[in-house]
Amino acid sequence: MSFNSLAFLVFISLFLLLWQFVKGKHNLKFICLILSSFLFYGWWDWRFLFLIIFSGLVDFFAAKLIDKHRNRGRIILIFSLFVNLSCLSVFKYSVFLAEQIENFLLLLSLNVSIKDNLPAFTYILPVGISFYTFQSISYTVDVYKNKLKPTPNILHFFSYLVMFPQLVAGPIVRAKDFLQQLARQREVSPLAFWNGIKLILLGYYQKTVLADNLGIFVNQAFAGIDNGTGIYWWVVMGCFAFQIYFDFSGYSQIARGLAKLMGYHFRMNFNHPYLSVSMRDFWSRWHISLSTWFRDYVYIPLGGNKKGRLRSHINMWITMLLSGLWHGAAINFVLWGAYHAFALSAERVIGKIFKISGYRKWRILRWTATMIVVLIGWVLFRAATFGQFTTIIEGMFYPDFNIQFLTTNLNLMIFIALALLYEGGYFLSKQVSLIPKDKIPYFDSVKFAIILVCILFLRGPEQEFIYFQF
Amino acid sequence: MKQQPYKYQFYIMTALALLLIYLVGTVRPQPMSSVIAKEKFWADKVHAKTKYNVIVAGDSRVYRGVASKVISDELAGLKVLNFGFSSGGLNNEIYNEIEERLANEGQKIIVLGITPYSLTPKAQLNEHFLQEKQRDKKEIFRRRFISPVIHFFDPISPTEIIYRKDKKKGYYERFNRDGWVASLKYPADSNAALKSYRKNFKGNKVSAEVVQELYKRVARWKREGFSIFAFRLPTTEGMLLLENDISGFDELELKNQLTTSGATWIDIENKHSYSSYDGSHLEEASAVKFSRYLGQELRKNL
Repeated sequence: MSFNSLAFLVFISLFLLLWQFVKGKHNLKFICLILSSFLFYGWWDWRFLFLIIFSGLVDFFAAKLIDKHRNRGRIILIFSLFVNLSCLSVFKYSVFLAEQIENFLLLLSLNVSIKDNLPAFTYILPVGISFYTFQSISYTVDVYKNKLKPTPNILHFFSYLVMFPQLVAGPIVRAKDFLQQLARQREVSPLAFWNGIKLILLGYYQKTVLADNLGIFVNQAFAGIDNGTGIYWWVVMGCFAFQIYFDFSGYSQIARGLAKLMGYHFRMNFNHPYLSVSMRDFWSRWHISLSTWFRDYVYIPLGGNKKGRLRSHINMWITMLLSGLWHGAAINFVLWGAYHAFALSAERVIGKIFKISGYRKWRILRWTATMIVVLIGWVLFRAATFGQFTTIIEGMFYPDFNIQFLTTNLNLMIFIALALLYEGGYFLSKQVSLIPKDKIPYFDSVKFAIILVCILFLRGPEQEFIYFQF
Repeated sequence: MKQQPYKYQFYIMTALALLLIYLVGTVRPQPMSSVIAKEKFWADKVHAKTKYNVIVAGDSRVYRGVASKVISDELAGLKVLNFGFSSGGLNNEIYNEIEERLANEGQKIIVLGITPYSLTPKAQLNEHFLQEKQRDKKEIFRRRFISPVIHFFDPISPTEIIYRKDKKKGYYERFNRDGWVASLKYPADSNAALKSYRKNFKGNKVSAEVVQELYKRVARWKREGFSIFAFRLPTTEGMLLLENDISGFDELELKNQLTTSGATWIDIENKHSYSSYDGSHLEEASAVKFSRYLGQELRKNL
């Protein structure tokens, strides 16, 4: 079930009620959490519960065996990785791989049909498979690297793996952060409770008011309805940038808020990425749990930046290509990863050159350049075909400053203004304090009451969270 | 705020939010025609188990043109249901349903709002009624009990608030629990429906079998002690002429036969004093005026 569904509202109300009774009972609360998470996940398709249980059991026992038989740890780890990545490949990448092989063979004038012969289940993507597979992998790798002791309690392990707030769209939680939280009895302080409520409200506001309303215009534009050129496409891509950010960040905020209400803490997943002044800065603020996962489990094991300048570029390219592929089994995601790798490489090189001549001083220029690069990157991410991508890019660089599409769409202007206010408000609050410190608690209460009313009455048409497809 | 600041912040937010939700929910601009209200209206009309003393049956001219509450006021509070459906035909399916919905005790009054179209073969398909009748049980439950609660929280677009005072083009409908849809169309066009009616009657005239079935059922109802009334719904002069001309409808013959079968025919006085927004259906004020007249006629004849 999705966070923005009526079924979830009923589910979470009952769960939090039940949680009050079981939270003091060690194993019972984990059984409650796991079963609730299975119900939450099974709401989409109960059959894929077997996959997550299978994957979890493999990693739970693999980690125990690695710890027990250190000399064979490498083989066990490879086995665990093989199982996890096989599951991911079969369910997420088999159709894509079959297509690529077919295309390659076609180049050799061999017309072979592989895709049509794949079993039907390979066409269904289990929700959140990329998220929980990465969590599961990180657990065994951390145990193998001696960064983590395997948990003896299978309930702890499954609570970590399937905890419903983060199960289907992250943030990707690390075992070493979370297992120790599970091992301790945690009380929800009034501050944690209030913060949890605020995060949930902010998350729903981001998703339902901002992302879903901006999505109307974006979907129309990508469906080819009343398309313009020039500034039109920049506005469309700006709206998509906000849509995907608020959609995904909204989910993460709700997940973090729910965890807080249960006494747990998830790390921040987004840190105002559109305030970034470089591409490196952007990746340290965007989908932080994924970026840091790739950094720790791909980039650094490849050698990171410790093996020379060229090698560090290569490592970064590999990491970004894999990150692109993680997002989806389609060539545009791989190109999106490559595009960002190129931008990061270029930035490193340019940074080296401009360091001497005051590169750091040009904040606004750097911010503008970063946003242009990011927006163009989103075209790759969102375009359904390569033809659409080229049409949009051509459109973006066509000199047309007609903004009639905006002036005749007051709703759109209002939601763009609200999106800008959301990010701009945060930026301003860091520069100047607009509200006296002693009035902040009152201001917060009023602000969140208004946010709640906006969620209820200004919400857009219900749309699935974008990152569910990954 | 000093001891438990965060709890108080939460309480203040909740109280303020509840107040704001109530305010926004009640003063918000209402949609011209609410889909949720419409869904509940039809699901209730077909699936509610409530019994009534008076049932007014017919097609869309009935459900838009007969305000049950007004009739009830004229009949000293008797419970009145408007049982009209879009393109509703008068046939055994509907007659049986009417019998089911009549009160077991007290007065049992059936009022047949007759239009030429309701006696045609096409109307006998009763697609609208059957669509509602055959709807999935879960869906019926959702439409009747879940959606109306959520309806309060229907989203509004900012422009709806900004332009709330502007009159918009389209259908204005208010769905009443007694089965009446108070209707209005802006801008009104009293000739709009003529074209579609001309088309509807092509190869689809008043059926002699349907009319015979009606007489038979009226006679049976009479024997069972029901009070039966019938009338031809008022509409525009243009529509009346068109229907008389091409539908095969013989009002005088129908009146005589129904009277013979045991019904009381109500001749509508000043039948052209009511206004229609589309040339077929009565607009809200005319529906109220007509219903008062109908109620008075029923009272006189009971």
